[in-house]
Amino acid sequence: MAQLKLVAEAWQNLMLHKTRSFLAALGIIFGVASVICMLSISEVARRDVIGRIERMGLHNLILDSVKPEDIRKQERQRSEDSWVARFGMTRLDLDILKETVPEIESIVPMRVMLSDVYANLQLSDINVVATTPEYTEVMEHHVASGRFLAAADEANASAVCVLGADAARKLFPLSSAVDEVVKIGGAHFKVVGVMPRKGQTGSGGILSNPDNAAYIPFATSFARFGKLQTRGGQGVSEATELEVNRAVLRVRDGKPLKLVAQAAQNLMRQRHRQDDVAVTIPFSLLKEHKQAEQIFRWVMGSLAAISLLVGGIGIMNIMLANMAERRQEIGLRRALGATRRDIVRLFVGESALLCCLGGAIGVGTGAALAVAVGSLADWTVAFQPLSFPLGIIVSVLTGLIFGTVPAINAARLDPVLALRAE
Amino acid sequence: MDPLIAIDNISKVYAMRGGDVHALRQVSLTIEEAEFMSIVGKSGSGKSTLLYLLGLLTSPTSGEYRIRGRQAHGLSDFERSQVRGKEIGFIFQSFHLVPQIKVLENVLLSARYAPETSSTDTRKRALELVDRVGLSHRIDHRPTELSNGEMQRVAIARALLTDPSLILADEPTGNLDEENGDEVYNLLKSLNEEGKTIIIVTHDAQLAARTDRCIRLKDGEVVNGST
Repeated sequence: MAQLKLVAEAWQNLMLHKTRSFLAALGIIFGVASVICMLSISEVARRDVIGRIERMGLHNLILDSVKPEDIRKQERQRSEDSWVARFGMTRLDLDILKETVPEIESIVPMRVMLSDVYANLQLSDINVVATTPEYTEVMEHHVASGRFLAAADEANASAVCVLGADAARKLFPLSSAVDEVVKIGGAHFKVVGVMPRKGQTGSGGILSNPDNAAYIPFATSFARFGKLQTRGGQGVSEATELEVNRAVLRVRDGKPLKLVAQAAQNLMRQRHRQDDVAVTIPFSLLKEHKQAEQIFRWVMGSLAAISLLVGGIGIMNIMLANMAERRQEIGLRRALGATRRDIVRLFVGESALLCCLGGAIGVGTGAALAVAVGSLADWTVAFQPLSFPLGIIVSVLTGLIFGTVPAINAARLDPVLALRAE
Repeated sequence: MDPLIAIDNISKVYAMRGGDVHALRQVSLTIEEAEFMSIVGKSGSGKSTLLYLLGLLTSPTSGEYRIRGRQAHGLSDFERSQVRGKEIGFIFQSFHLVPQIKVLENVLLSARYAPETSSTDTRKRALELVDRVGLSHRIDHRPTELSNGEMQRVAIARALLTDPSLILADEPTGNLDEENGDEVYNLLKSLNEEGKTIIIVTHDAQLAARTDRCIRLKDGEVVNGST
């Protein structure tokens, strides 16, 4: 009851000087708002990064063919008008890998085709990826309608394809894509299935966007388009002989990912003269990312502390001015029977309430700001739920801490001098 | 029976940068219950210091102060505050009303630190007191909307809210014209007739002459009047 009275009195006193109270709380408001907003943005980034890593499959190893530095150099210094770049993993590499490393359960090859995709004579910016039926199991990405590529498609090198969610929407916005026909690199392919939305995976490149792809059987890519892919320019043509852009290795449960990765890397080094295969362990990426997050948390924490310090000093200044202005009132309250402790409570109560309100407004502003940024940047806003109550509690603590010095000063005033103050 | 107030050889020294200032020098005084007295003297004579000392707002540098037989010296801040809150009512020359709150709230402020009263009773009593000082029609006004005389009457109502037995008034008519001064005097007189002890500090000789007993201070010493 007494506490309620104190809060009511503090509220009344703050309301007597609305503008000043608001200005005093501004530091806290902006401090809390910026921290809440930054926390939200970092939470969005965190979920995005973790999602991308997890979508690569935490039981998987990713082998990517990379263009070796020698070939890049040659390209830059080229004298001829046409050449062939040969590098990367081959189908044979993967067969040998599968046979020599028993910890590997399955291998899914992916080959990025440079073919254009048309539907109803309309060109779309859709990527073509050749892969095998195991793709759905290993990537944990199953069809939404129709079926995925089947073993028979692979055996017969059939002209069928499965569309990613975005690709299906782009090619056939008005109807179901299944059973429609698309033209890939000049040949007709029947759409047999559509995938559900998965979201970005891993980092960079065509393969990081599984939703914007048309999947064709791996065997078909060789049967129809051959080993060599060419890209024409003005009087220049460049060809790439690259059989497998990426291989996703599913490792058997409980087998050490790092050792398998090492074995794969060694095998590739033995078989290739150049260093053209990079191994990624999504699980290790996740761990590394979580460590980086820890550092980021410290940075955020320090930023929050600094902004609250600034806010707290603002509060202290205003409370000191407030106290100087209310000396007569302090004297009067003492004459009416207020103890020193009552005076401390009065002023600390005011600064704590002020900071509490500032913190609450800050939380609201920060959340609104995060939503605004989210809608501008077109991402789903995410919050750390604890950050809201924590923002307010820390604000109140700031008020208690920074309100104490002015309050003690007020309580120590000689009542007689206070009453005589001008 | 103990007198209401007994002070013995009280001195008060303020340590200032330019040297010590002796506000009171060995003052001894006894005040009985229901007295109506005044303390007069020029400004700087120590009369206000004496009043605040009697009201437990400041402590003597030396000497002894007893209120109802109790040694004031040994009281804690809490106990002194309790005595002030319950037994002493203050009236000031410059009224000391809180300008931002209304008349009734100003009166109620003195119940803020006397927790044992129930809020409905207190409010009822505050309304009665405002009525007694003739300001019933002004309860929702702010002090800035009142005349000096009205403000002092609000201050008197505030001093009476906790029904103190001792009223200490520091130049209560100092900022008032004659008519309002008379009105304040009459209020204080009637309170005295109800049994309250009234001590007025003033430099108004006429007002002092109308009290039952007058003490004159000069340079911190009592120069005449019965002690």
